[in-house]
Amino acid sequence: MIRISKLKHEARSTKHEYFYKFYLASCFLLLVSCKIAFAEVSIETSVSRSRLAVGEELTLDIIITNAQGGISRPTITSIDGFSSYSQGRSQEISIINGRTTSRNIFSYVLIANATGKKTIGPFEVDISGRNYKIAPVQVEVVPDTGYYPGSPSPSSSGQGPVYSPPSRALPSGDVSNQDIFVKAWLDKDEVYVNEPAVLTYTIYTRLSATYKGFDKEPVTTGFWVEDFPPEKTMKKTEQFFNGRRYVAADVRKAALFPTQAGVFTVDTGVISSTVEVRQQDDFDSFFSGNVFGRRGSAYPSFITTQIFQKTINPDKVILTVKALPEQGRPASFSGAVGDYRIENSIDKKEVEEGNPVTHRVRIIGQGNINTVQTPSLSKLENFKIYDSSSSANISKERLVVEGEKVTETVLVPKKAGTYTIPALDFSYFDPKTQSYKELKTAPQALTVRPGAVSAEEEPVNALGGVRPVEKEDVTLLSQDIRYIKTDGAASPRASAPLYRNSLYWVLNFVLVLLSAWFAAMGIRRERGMTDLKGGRLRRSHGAARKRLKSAAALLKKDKHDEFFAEIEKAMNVYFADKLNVSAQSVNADFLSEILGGRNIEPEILNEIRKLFDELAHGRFSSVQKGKDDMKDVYQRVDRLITRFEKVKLK
Amino acid sequence: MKISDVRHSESAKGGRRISKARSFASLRMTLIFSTLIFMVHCTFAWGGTQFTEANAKYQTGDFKGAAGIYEKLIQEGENSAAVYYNLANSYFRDGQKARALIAYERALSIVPRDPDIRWNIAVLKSALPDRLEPKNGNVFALWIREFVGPFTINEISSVLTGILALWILWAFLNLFFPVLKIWFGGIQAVTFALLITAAALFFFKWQEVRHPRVVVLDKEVSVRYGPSERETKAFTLHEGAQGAVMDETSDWVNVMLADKNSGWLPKKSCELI
Repeated sequence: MIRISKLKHEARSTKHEYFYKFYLASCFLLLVSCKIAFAEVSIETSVSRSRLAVGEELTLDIIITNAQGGISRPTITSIDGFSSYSQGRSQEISIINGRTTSRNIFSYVLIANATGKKTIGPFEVDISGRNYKIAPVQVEVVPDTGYYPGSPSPSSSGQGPVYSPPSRALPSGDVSNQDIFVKAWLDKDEVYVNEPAVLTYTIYTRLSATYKGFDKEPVTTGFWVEDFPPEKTMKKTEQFFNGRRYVAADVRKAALFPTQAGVFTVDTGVISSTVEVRQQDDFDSFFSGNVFGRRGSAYPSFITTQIFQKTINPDKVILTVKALPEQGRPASFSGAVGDYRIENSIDKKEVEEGNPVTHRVRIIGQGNINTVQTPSLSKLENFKIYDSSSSANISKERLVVEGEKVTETVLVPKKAGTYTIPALDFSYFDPKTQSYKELKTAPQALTVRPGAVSAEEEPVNALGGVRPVEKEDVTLLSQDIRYIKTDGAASPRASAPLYRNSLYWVLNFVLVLLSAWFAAMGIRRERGMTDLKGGRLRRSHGAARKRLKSAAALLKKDKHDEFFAEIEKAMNVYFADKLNVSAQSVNADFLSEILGGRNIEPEILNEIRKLFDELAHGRFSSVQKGKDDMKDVYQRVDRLITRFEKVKLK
Repeated sequence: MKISDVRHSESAKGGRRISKARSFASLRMTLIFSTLIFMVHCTFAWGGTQFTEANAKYQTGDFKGAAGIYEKLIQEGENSAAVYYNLANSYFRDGQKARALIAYERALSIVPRDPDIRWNIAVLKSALPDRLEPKNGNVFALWIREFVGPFTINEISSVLTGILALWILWAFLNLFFPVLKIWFGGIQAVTFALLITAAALFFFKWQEVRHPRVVVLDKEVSVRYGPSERETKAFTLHEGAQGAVMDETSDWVNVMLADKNSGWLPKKSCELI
């Protein structure tokens, strides 16, 4: 941004303004008509920038062209709002076609120290004793943006003399960030997945600095990084940055290949450097020192130097990674981004069966060649395909990652014939055109001759025997649905679920009930068969009653003997069942012996004894008892049995 | 189709049999009778020509036309596994993955051991974007699902009743032929074990089938925490995703996925199996 204001050949003439104008016009006419060999004096004023912040610098160049004779230094009085320092004077003389052009440049560094629109100049210069006026230049000074805090402010007022060195305090001990810093920057803010972004570390210094390397390597998670080899000679450029002059050099460059989409912040690490600082006050020698190597100075370098260790944290960089577009993505696409071409070849066009052929696929181009997937041969009929090997060769010249990847696949033909190795599809995304590109390899013809060995062995099987062949797994070539059913007549139909049908549950319930009943029956029977004693006990009362009943019938018929026999039997069987003994062993003594030890009322025992006695008496006595007696016996037995039922044995 | 339709009637579109007759037939108490009816049905009502016509259309690549005929056959009550299967294939070829899945699942529910259906479902599911697998699935549950998978609930129900009948037969013989008791002890124990197993299988299968399932038809649908557009989005499902219906309102169904995530889905974007 160089603003040039030109003041052409304007001699200073305060008295005769009109005369001056006339002079100008006539000179111009003379110039045009005569084309005289000498050119007129012209003075240009140029500033490096027209807008700057407080504390920043601009360079003012006063260029005097075609001045004849001696030129005095321009009289630069103090400039309002600036501190000014001379940068020296340079002279260029060129002779073209016998025409001599000379340029004298006076350079000044101006440091702004007040805001507002400022006018630099006008100044005056004496050339060959004539006084020329130098046109003023307008610049604007804005408040300090504070971009680099801690910047040493230039000398306070700017009212001081032009040539005097500033009372500028050089950093001591600590080297401020303003004098040396590193910018890490990416050449692109937005890239596609797998499209490289070049990360560059540029060191800006106003001091004599040496780059030492990285204290902490950058964190590049999510990226495939290809570091560019360092240049043999570090290229140094002079750059203005925030109005200050720096020596800039790129210390490290790396290509970042993002592996996934998203917004990434790359931690750029920590850089180490040493800084040489001259402990001096002389401004001129500061500028004429080794830092810029600019115009020489008359001052000797008497200075002491001090070396500081300096670690620099560059700002983190942010990179937006876009996902590759879905639209138009070919089926063969496997993530390659860049610019590629593909070649293929086979080492033999003709081969005997069983002998290997090498199919070689080369992918050449720019991009992350390491991660490029070479398309592989799918199953080939009558061929055995061995795993392929690939090698990548990468060059990183001129900030471009490029190279080639060679994949070799060994094929062994199993059968003679003429085959074509099919074309392979390869596709990549070209970020320049933002589109997918599809490539195909050339199909390769291959002739397979029958092997000599198999021909020799043929006679073995002349009689029609078989030779076992090597078994192979049947492998699916692709996945698709199976064909429709052609016979639908026998196909079963949809039916309602049984469990939703109440009849089903009724049936099941009935079956469960039935089984429960059967089981209960079975159990009951089983118990009856095994538990004899319990059975007798349970049946005793019923059986006795039965006998008593028949006895009652006999009583009615008045059958005396039978009645007593039945009654006795009833008694015997009843007690036998109760006590689980045989009926024959039951008699009055036995019962009183067994029952006596138990907790039974003596009254019952007496009654038992009495009844047994009476029964024995009734049966065996010759005197027949009367009907009343029989009835009495019957009732007593009945009562006894009823009473005895209530007795708890044991 | 409304979900309530399916809950109470059969799974096919428009069952036309009378409920009493159906329950009778399904009980298989008159197995011979129903077989006879089936044969008669085959002879007179089986849409064999239409089926063949649809198959021919499929063969020539007219999948839409084929699907139309198969659908018509199903509406007419030809809800056989073969028709569902062929319909599913037509849908699949026509690119309607969700509808294909529904038809395959219907066919599979009729003939769960058909290898073609299983294969095609696997192929279809490999092309569906949602991963719907039980999370940290317990091995036993997985094993049970594998085990009951190849059987229909009706088969298991029938087996359960059969074993119950066998059990009763043993009890009966035991009662009236006590001589056979020595043999029956072991046999009864085995039968009882079988009975318990069948009952357990029935329970697990019932657990699996008692909730009707839906398949998402839309390419992408948001599942929400409640039955309203105002509710928070829970997750997104894609075409062909399956879930069990746990609850429903007039326009929404509450689905539970295999990974136990659940949410509400608009009815218009899904269909019942």
